[in-house]
Amino acid sequence: MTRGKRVLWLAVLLLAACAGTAPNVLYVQAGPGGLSSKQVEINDKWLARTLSFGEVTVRPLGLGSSMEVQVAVQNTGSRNAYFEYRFLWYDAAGSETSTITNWIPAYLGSGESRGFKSTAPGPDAAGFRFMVRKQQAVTHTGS
Amino acid sequence: MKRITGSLLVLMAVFFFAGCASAPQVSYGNPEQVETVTSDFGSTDLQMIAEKMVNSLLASPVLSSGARPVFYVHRVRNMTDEHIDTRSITDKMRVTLLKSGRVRFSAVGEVNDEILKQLEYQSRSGVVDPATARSAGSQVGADYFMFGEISSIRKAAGRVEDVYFKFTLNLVNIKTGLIEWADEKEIRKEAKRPLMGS
Repeated sequence: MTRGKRVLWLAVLLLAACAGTAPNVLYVQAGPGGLSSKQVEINDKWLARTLSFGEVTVRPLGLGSSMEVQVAVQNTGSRNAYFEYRFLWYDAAGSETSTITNWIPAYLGSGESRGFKSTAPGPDAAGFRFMVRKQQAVTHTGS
Repeated sequence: MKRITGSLLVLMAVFFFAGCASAPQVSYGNPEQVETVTSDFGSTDLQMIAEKMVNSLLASPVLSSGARPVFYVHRVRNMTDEHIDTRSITDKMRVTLLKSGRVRFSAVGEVNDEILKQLEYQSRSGVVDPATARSAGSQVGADYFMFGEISSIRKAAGRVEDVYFKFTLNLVNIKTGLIEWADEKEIRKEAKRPLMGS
């Protein structure tokens, strides 16, 4: 391989490493009665090798008009994982109902497993998305 | 030689005019992004606290009974060594809790003077139609109030600075005087100064 080609490959690899990747998403349909469906979308294979979605538990609250959910995430890698996550809630029509939608930084040690909790923002919640992604730079603009 | 001198002059002119361009570069950011510009209290810390407290409160028995209790925010004391607008934390929580439809907030703690002034104006000024004038004695009494504290421990050694924030919030039942719910959020941040520069 010529020197020029090597530099080109290096540049491509660097760009690939720096490029933003879409998050891995766990789609869950659930009500206070329990879980009805669960689907995983992997957009970042590198992250999926480290962080895996585990059990989803649904706990009805009070009179059963609302619920608290917990998603277990495990770091299956050999290194500590620094990542960001968020919950987005939806009603039966698919409209987003979350009022807190920010990404939250999190950490899991190698082999560690932890449950991430969220409470439905209102009684009309019919499902949620739990998203995880690699730590992002702070200077991103727009959405 | 002449060519090099010419190039240098052009380069100097470019730097000169670049220096004169005084307008700062401004761009809009996404408020949902994680912010770690400095180790000081920032927007992500505020959002993390609000998220934890709201989730915890919504899952608490106080808000799960079906009744819509009335809250007001007493105060959140800032015990850290930096200026933190604690009101912005409680405002964020209040907005989210109100949107859940499971709690109501009394404005008495914050705008009571204005409410009293308005009641006085409506009932005594003679300007307001008596049929629409609001009279005193109909305010809804609060069931609970919130109070809390944010504190921090800051340590630095060499180029490394470690900051620990702890936010505690309590919910007091006014009738019984009991703290019926409390939760806390801990945040730890580490900043490393670069070898070169400030």
